[in-house]
Amino acid sequence: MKFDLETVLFFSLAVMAIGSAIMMITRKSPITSALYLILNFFTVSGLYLLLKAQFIAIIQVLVYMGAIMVLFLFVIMLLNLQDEKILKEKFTYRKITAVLLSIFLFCLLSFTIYFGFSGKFTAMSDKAVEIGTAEFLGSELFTNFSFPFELASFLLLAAIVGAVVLAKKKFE
Amino acid sequence: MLESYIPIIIILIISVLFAVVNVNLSSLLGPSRPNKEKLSTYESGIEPVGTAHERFSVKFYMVAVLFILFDIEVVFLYPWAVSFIGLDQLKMMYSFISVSVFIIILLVGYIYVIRKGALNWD
Amino acid sequence: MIQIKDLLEVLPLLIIAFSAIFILLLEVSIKKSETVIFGFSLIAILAAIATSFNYFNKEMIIFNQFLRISNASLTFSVIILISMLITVIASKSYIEKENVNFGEYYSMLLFALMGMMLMIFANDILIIFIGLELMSVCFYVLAGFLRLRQKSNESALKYFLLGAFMTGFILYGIALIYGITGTTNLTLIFSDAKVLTNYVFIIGTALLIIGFMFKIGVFPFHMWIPDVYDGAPTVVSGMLSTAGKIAAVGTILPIILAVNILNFKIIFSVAAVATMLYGNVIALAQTNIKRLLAYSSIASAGYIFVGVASMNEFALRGIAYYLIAYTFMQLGAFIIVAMLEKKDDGSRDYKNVDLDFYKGLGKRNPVIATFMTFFLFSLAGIPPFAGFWGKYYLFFAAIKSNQIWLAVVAILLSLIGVYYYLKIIVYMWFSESLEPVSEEKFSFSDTGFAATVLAVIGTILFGVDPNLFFSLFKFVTP
Repeated sequence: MKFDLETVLFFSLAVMAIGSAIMMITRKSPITSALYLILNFFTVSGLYLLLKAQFIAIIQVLVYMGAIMVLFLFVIMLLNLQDEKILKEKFTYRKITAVLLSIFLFCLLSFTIYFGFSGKFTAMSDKAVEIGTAEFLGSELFTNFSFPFELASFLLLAAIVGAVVLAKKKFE
Repeated sequence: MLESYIPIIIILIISVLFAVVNVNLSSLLGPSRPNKEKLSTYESGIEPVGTAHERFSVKFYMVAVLFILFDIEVVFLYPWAVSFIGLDQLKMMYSFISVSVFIIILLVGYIYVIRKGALNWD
Repeated sequence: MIQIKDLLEVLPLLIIAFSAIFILLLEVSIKKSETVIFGFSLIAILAAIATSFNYFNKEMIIFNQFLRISNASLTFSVIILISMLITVIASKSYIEKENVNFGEYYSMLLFALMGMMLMIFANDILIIFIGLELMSVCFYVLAGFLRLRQKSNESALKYFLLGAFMTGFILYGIALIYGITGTTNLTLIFSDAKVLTNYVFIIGTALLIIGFMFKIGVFPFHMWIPDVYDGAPTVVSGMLSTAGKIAAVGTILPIILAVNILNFKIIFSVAAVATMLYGNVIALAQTNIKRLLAYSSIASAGYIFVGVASMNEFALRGIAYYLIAYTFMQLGAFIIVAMLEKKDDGSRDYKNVDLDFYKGLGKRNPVIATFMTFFLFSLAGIPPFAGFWGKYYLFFAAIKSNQIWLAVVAILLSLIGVYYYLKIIVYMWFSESLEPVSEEKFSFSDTGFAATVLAVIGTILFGVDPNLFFSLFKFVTP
């Protein structure tokens, strides 16, 4: 394995990503969990940058760390869990089965990805840098991929109506 | 390739250092002589009642959801703005039309939200 | 890029999409717009059904290869449209009764319909995913549409959490398929025979299929169905159990047939047997009719998977026939439950949905009881109703693919089903009524009644003349 800057960056970001994810699900206070989630989003955006996906990395910061986190915090404050102890659950045989199955799924996926892709991608192609930019994305999205793009607006519209229907006080 | 990110990394490091150093420095250098009155919550001289963790109204949530949905709309416009000038004539017109349709559909959503009074703070 | 003439090739989709948006504008511009919107959405769906028949026998790939119109996808889309038509008709009285008479309800139905049609017509995994999300978002909202009823909220939340989780599986599968093939276009993916045997592709497809098995409600991904159907507004439950399932089946079936991994055959057979066993056995113990119908819909997913497991040319016609029969009988039964439900009185739970309420219904309300009997006979698979032919063609497909054991097990398990369907019929006609006879007030102006009549016509028509279906949908007899 080559030991260059990118490898070092990748492993440090990967460790941070997994570490923050574990911290997120083990914290008692939901706000602390949410803050670790932000750290996780940040490291993932760093990983996107390593893959030369600049635009996605920026969007990850803008939309996820900016907008979606606000929503998370609102939900936490909306629910306002006074006593986090009641959320604590016992470790039953059901959970143990779930954990074992998750580990199995994890092993299955990692083996598949490791062996299935081995030898497929040796070096990142020169086009990769170009593909990740907003210019390239724009020139593809609004011409060749315009149909899924228009459909995205229908999805957003349905979500807007759904949000208003479910969350508006005094709906008539 | 990675060299072009060095300015960003430097700024990141500086900002993290700035935050960490400033917070810790003031607590290290400043005198710390706490007493009961000082440690209590400051409520303009009135005795504090209950916790600061009040339940928020669902109205905030409504605004936040609508913000995200329209935020995503804007995200789609960014690559359009960047790429528009580089396209040839035909594709330029085409991308203009497809973005217009996109915006018009979401405009219906906007009209709906306004007319329903979903953003009214009543 | 999309040409203008492409737009004319998908008129049904366009009609639904634009009416869904137009309804929103109507809702905010006219006061008391509910009746107008109801009429408008009816016309839109009827127009979509009428235009659909123009495209039969014209196999084409349009919209920059994003959509693929074929006889199979058109058939599924027409079945979904029919299911939606009956749902819309039945909804009018129901949402008035439940005090949620809002125009958004119809808009949500049409958006969901658009998502389902997109999934069915998709020739690209991207479109499948967007369609699935559009459908699911609307389903979550519809399941929680009775905002003041706790049961409905619970149902929406459960559906949302589990649905979002399973969407993760689908997305992971899509990512793996894209990673190994480098494209999301289904035509390109299936054209490369070498990639179809790659581990990554098989695991990716398996994850995709798992996600759709969840949407169909196949064992072991069925657990959400009873809770969601029980809590959702009754007409919506009927729609979820018919249109929602048809969309998922219609999307995944062409992929399963194209990929044709023979190792999956045995997995599908086992899943089918487990689903039928679970659905039919647990349904025996139910005392709530909505839950009973939910378990019966799990059993139906099992019958559908008998067809999927046969993976031959008979499978498609068997599944399509079963689905249209299922649409009429299941939706009809749910609508009758919806009509008999008590008017909203601000309570947390639905009233008059216990099986005991159906005791003596034949004396109190002979017309409705007769219709319900028809639907239940059809669900039990008794001739001359459509359900019989549906099961017949499905089990026939299994036999033709040398899986006689599967057909035998399926027939035996569907006999368990006969017991609980007949139990309701016995309750209706031969039990003493627990309710006072005179209290029943039933008016024929209830739009649910019109919807039930449509469903009865469908159940009997396709039961008496099975060839009508194949000629109507231009099936080539293999």
